[in-house]
Amino acid sequence: MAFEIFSNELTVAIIKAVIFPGVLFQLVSVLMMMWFERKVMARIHMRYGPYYVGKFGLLQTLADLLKLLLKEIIVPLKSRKLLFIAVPVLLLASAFTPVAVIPFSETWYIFRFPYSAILVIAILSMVPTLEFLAGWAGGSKYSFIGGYRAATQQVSYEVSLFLSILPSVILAGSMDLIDITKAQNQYWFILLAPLAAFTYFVASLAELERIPFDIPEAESELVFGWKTDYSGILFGFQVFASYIFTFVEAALFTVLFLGGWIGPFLPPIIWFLIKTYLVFFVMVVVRAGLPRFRLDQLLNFGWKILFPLAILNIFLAVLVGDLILI
Amino acid sequence: MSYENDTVYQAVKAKFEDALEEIKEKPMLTFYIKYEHKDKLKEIAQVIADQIGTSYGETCSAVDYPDKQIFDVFWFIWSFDTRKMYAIRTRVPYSSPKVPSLVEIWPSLNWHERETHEMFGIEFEGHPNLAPLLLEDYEDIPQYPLRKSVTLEKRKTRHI
Amino acid sequence: MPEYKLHYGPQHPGTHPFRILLTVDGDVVVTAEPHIGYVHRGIEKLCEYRSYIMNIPVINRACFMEGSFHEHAYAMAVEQIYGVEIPQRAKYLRVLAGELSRIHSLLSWFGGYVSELGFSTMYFWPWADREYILDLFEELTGARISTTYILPGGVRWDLPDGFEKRVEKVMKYLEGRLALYDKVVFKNEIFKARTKDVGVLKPSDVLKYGVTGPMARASGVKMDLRIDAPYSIYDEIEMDYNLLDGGDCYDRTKIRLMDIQQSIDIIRQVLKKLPGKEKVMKKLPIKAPVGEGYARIESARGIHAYYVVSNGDRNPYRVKIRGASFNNMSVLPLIAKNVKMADIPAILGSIDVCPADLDR
Repeated sequence: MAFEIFSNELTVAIIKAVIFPGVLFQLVSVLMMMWFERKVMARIHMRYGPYYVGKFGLLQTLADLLKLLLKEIIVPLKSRKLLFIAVPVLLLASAFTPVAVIPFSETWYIFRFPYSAILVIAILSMVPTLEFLAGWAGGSKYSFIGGYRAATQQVSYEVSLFLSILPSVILAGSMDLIDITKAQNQYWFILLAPLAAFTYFVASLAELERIPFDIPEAESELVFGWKTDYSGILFGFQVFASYIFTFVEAALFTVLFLGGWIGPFLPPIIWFLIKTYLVFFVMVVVRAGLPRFRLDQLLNFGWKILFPLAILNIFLAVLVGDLILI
Repeated sequence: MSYENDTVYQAVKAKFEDALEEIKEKPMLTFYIKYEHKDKLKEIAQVIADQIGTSYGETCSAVDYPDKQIFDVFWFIWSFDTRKMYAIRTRVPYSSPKVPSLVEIWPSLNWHERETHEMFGIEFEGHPNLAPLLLEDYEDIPQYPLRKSVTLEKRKTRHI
Repeated sequence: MPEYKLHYGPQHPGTHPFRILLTVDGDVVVTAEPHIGYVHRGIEKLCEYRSYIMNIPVINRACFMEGSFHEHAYAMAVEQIYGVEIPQRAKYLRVLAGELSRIHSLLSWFGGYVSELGFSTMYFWPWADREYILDLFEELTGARISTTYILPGGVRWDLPDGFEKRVEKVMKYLEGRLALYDKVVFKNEIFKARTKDVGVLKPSDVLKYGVTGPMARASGVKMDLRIDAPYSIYDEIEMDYNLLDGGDCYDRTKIRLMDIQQSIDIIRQVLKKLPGKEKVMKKLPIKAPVGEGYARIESARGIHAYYVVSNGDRNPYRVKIRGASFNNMSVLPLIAKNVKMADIPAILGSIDVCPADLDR
């Protein structure tokens, strides 16, 4: 395994990590994604959405972020204080990390790693543990129930998520995300493995705790699940981490199935961003249009339907790979 | 009087004529039972229930008459078959506010009797659970608030 | 995991103001016991200190969504005491106000209920449709929700010019929307999974525990006061029972939308049969004669009943209110046995409790 970082490339990598596509870009992107989601959902609901702060309400999320920064951080008396404060920070850190290996174009990436597809999934699998710890550290019955519900849901769907990336790996012949994108020059993998794209999309909705899988934070029962007691910037960290994970999953979908940066006329980075935000748009429309599953129905669906489909995908991918990509 | 021909009245009169204090017709056929015969209240109610077919207890409460020192307790029953309302009432003296409960005949009166106990202080013998229903979390409301002895501040109003 | 007790409400967003004490074993609810009384305002006591007409704004708040029904029942009970007959046109206008408030109460319940299951879009669409009915109310009475329109003796104002045409426009629009909700909500697999066979109420329990209204009809019991014992002008209106036979949350939701369609038909019949112009208000003397009155009506939630006692004074001596939600709520421990905890909002919402009606 040769890590291709020399000293002058190191400075370039650091600039990439901080500005684009690293920390600063992610922060701005999260603010824009939140605005986009609120506006699209509002229009589906026959109302306007953010309206007053900035033109078209563009600065609304910045205002919300400033409000969260200025609020008092309340740590409940009966909680385990160090763990309580540490979990949102760890969540945010583990959200930023996969961005380092996602390729925005053939030459524009922070870090190249031969097994980057697995690396992203491995980092995503830290999330259930952190959520369970947050629920346990909260100190109240409600956050504990929310924590174990969240962990149960995410562990069940992570298996299907992992299996769904394997068809792309098989069809491309490598676990490196850059090689996978380059292998889609002829056909995008969504045409060769559509079922895998479907199972990946559904599993990623469950990973991100979005509707229809947001039972851990269903307001009508447990107030807000394991996030109930978080206030101020600790809550802000979780919201940011959630949206950065959304970006990571959407970007991974683009790389694995939609051909990454490949496209005519426009520069590759623009294509990558357009495709990623298109996937995000579909996620928002799904959120506006469906009710939520109950936990046992969700687990039934995850293990009895999605998991066999994900295994089936692997066989189909081998078949397609033999027939078409010879 | 038109209620003489009513089958329900005749069934009750056949066995319990001495327990009947008064019969009213408006707003519904009302049987006033004498308080000394309150032990027969459940049997009278059972006779009425058998006569009127499928029925349910619609409501139960009391009216307070401090000048006569009685509570006028009422149960209103609706019959699906004869499509009429019937009332069973009894005048309970202040000195012993105890009445048998009719929950076993019409289970829909459960919460109504509980609320009457809470508001007036009338005890329903045989009721499974007479715990407070509406006022259990309030500390500053006087006990048995619907009695006339508990007064609200008088409003100064203009007469229309 | 051993059993432990959990409070559901009153701090939960999306529940009404009452709390339910759940005994939970893992994720399964063993018992559910409602504790009510959070919005008790003592309406029955307040009514003894105000005259018959001054009581109307107080009675109106016995259920804010469908105040017209409470006013109607109270007015009918008081008119029994006075022994008067009100003009025919006033009776038709009372029924019109009642049916309009039935539609908007059921629409707002529908939006709130489906959004509790996570369907955020279906919160906004019924509430947007409700605005058209509230505009009609504002035109007719001056107030959107707490319309003190019905008084003992008639109604306060007659219809404005051209009102019938505007009502017909709104009714046509609502019929289209009901067809849309049918497609979006009732054919949705997730909604069906959350509400089918959840919280089943048997017909024998309906009659035993005094459950009335749409909740009874969804279990297959033929109970509609407008047909069983018609009051006001309902003997001149053609209507039939809306019945479904499942008794679960899905049927209770579906039957309330069928009730909206039925109300639209009733409003159309009322507007056609409306008698000619006459005075719609009959002034009654300030002091009522000695007597009692008892009146019942069928509202969007069930049977409301008012019992008014008068001893010849300016104020009523006793007003007893029987709210429909009182008996409907008492069935909760029966239908919420051995369900998952995530079913509790679904079951509770489908009972359509009006907490103001419950606590008075």
